[in-house]
Amino acid sequence: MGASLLGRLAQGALVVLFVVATCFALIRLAPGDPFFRALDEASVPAEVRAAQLARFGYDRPIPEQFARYLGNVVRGDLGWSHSRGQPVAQAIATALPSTLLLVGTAGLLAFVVGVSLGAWSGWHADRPIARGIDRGAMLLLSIPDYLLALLAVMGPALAWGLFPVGGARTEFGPTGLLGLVDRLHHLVLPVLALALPIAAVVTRLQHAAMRDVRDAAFIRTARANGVPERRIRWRHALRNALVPVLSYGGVQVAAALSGVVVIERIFAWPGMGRLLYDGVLSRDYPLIAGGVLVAAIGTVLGTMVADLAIRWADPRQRNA
Amino acid sequence: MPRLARLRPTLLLLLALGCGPSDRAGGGTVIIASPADTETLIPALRTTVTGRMVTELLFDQLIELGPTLNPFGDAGFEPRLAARWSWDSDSLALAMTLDDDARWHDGRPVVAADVVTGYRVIMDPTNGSPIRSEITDLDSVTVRDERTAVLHFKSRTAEPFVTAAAVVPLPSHLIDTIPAGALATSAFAQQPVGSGRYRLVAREPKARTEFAAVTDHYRGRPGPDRLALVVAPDPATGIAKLWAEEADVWDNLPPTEVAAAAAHPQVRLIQAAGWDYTFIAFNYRDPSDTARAHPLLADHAMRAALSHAVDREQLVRALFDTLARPLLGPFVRAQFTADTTLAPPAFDTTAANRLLDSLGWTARDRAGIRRRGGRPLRLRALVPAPSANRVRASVLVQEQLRRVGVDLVIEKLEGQAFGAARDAGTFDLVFHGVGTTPSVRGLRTTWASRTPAGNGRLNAGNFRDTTVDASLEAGLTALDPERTRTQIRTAYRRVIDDAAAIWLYEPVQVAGVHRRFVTPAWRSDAWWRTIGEWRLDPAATRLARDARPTAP
Amino acid sequence: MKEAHASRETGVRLAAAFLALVGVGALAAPWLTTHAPTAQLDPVALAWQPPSAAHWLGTDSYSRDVWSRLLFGARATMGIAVLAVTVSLTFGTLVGAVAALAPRWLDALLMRATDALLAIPRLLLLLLVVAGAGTLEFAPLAILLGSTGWMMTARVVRQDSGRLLATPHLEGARALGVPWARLLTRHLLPSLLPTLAVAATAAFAAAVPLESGLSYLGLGVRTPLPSWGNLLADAESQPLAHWWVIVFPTVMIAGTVLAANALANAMERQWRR
Repeated sequence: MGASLLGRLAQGALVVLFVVATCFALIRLAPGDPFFRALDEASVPAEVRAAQLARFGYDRPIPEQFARYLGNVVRGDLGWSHSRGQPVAQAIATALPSTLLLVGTAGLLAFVVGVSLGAWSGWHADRPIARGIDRGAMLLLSIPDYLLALLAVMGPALAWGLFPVGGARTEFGPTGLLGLVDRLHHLVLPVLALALPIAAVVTRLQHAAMRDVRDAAFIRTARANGVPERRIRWRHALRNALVPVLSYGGVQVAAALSGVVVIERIFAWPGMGRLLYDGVLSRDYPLIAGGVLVAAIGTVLGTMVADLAIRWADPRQRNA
Repeated sequence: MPRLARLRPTLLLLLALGCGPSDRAGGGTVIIASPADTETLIPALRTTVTGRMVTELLFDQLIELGPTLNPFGDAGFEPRLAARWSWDSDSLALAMTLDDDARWHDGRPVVAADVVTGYRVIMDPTNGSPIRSEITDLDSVTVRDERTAVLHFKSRTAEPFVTAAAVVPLPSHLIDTIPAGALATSAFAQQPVGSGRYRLVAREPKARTEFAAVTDHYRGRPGPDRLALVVAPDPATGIAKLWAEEADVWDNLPPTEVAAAAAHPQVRLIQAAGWDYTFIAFNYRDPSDTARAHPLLADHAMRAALSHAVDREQLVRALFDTLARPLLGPFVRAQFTADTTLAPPAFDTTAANRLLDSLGWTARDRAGIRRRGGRPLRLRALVPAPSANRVRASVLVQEQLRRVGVDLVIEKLEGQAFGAARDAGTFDLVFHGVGTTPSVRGLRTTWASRTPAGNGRLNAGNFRDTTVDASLEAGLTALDPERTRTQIRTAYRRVIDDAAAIWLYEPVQVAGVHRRFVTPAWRSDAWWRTIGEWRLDPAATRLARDARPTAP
Repeated sequence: MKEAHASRETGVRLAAAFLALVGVGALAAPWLTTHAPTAQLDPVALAWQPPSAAHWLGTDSYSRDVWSRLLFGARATMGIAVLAVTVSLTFGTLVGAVAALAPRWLDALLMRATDALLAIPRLLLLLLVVAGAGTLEFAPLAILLGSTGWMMTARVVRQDSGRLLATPHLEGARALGVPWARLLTRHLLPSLLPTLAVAATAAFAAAVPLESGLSYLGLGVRTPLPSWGNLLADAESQPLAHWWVIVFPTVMIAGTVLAANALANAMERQWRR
């Protein structure tokens, strides 16, 4: 067990290395550089920019830059963010907690709602309401996430005044207990906008899996053996039907980050999604590398946890 | 109970502000929402408008262009850190005497050495300052005595005081110890000590920057106690913050939002002259081999034909309704040198068709696109995806050109890819935007022939004309504003007569400001310069954030 | 039970009819519309017209007829979505199923490579590629969307295959020495169909809004070609005031996705029998 865990960790490290290397190279191959600055302001002469590029070693071959970068990372130095004018580590330290809060809340909500709705509707797949739930989830998935977020801002926030329009807290707002309430108030809409599409996918997967399990042989066997219906449903059926959902859950970390890019932009939420998006647009090489490093570690951990959960849910795979 | 206890001082303060005759009508908190953040806190390193705003709040200039917006001579300038100035007898050395009360935010007096440091930071190539190429007329800056710095010019020019304003003093006692090239990554760059009416309190890049009033400033205590620049990257939801009273200013509302403002009576709209303009520049060089002339666009008749084919009046109405005007040439109407008698080629499809026919593009394919020698009349236009206006303009122009049989292929590129393609010259047409200032020296970057000295850096189409070069030089070195105006107008006329571009639009600025603030006359070129004069309207209801911050 | 069956049949017929209508509409668009999809009738006077007799579904910000753009847009959107789903489904199933059957080291290699690609946020990858490559033509855009979307399918297929291979039926087949290619095509793939049907509709449902999302970020289908995605993106600044530009494309996207889903379910039931 210990050896296999070590093996998984080593594999995970390789994955992270590959991801960072890919983005490291792609961003350097894209036109532009960190000193290009704003759209119509080419006011920094080319030779000055060239000198700046040389100062940070961006004129060297990409493999050499990558080797140096890895060396620095091992020493705990993530580099300097040119677009933010602060160390990359500091930028991530402020952005990561606010994204974790957003993604964590949304993920939890999506899974609880999705699994319950999906499990119930899958078990009762013949009822019209159950089919309605499945179709409702499908419908939700057909609306682009940015549109959902924009409508949330224009309706509940702006037109009805129920929620703040954007940001993570009220500027110069209350502190202490009231401050906490204020932060939760700001969290509601972005969490809903992020969670709804994920919940829809989870509902559909759970619905399909539960419907399949319902007719499976081992359920019939259990029923024939006189196992109580409630125990069948919750112990045997749901546990087995969780496999595809859990398999999806681990990888959802990366997909959620894509959603986060849009949600954080629309809700002016200062987090990792905006850090990565701004980083790409401003060709902030160290910021991208650092952001992707953190995102990749998060995803790898997510998939590992999901794999462990799958082993728990599906005993047959324990030896596979 | 603890909650009530917390609320009570606030309530009392609100009551005091609302009822009692307050000693001054100042105070309040201004939240500025903006889609972009500043890229730096150091004046010498700023490249954007937001960068100008933030650095000008933190740092005072020696002198500042006043509301007349006249950049020639010193009549239009007001004293700031420099209380007085005088030319030496050779008319090349400008002595600046500093204000006796001017202090850095850390309490140290502003001294002449700080002016030298400000200049040195701009000129040090390892800092990569964009200001460097704008003050080429300056030779050196020296210290005459503790409170007098001298700016030595190479020669007299039309705008020496624009140069003087660009040399922003920096605290030598903090900067001079920073090694060469390390300024941008220094602690000072994150926590600068300035001389402006506001000091930095806290900053989270790309999210928020908080400022507090400097209460003992040599120019007097500014009105609002606190400012915050809050970044809202999506304009639609950013402007929604203004409507929802989460923000107090949005300085550039698009026309659709101006129309929606009626539903939000707490926001006052302020119109001001615009300083941005947009045109389509033609590429004079072959995109596939920039050493050669462009096979189609090097021909004046082709450029004229395309210019005639674009209905600028319709374009402006469709994009901005009444909140923009068709551009007259490479200038905005608010500029001192503007020449409203100039007229770009009129919308005339008959003329456009006649010119295209005469060039041999007579055959048409099934879609109505002109052909010559079996090849379609197809042109590639670069459009920056981040500019919503230019993207929309390109779709309208595409359809207008199609009507005369020209196939415009739109290459919509993300910001940096757009800039790289523009600078490399790999396009036929480019949708070019210019943010100009009252000074006319920027013309050199857009329309002068490219030189190693840095002229023509934004001359994307590689327009070259010796008359324009000569007129610009003569205009920028003339000592008489009238002569400058004549020379610059000659350059305008040459550029327009050559049909070097299709002159699209010049939008009016519309700012939205919360009604509880009484604002002085809006500075169209730099509205934030008068923010210290903003006052809370005694009759208006205050918001919770206006409560005076308690001293820590 | 019989009633449910009958209503299901009607549902399937409705779904098939809807998809057929969309297909016919897209193909016959030139004869069903009165305006060219790119024609700007009068960008000043006729922009943002609500639905009327002259313009059944109103006009957009450039005074283009929304009905024409909706019909012609079906070509681009369906084309891109179908191509993208084909690419992602084929590749994902292949990787997932092969990994399940392959020796342990190859399995680990394939799945870790999948994890690695999944760990790059898709939008970031698309941004990076588009930043480097500029405006993409139709087919490259579809293939790009497809080739960045297969990893999820691969993982789900790998998990499901692992579960299926552990069933007595397939374990037996394996023990009997059935060659792996046969195992894949005859035994594994048919059993995977329910999963794949869901994955395909999910991928389709994801591809259509993603195309719209790219338009929102300023990338996506080249103007002035219509697509459901760039129709939606046009109403970005005032979504409530210009509801017709949002409602009709959304109805089309949702209808198509629901119909495709209903058909997939029906097919799945057929195979099961």
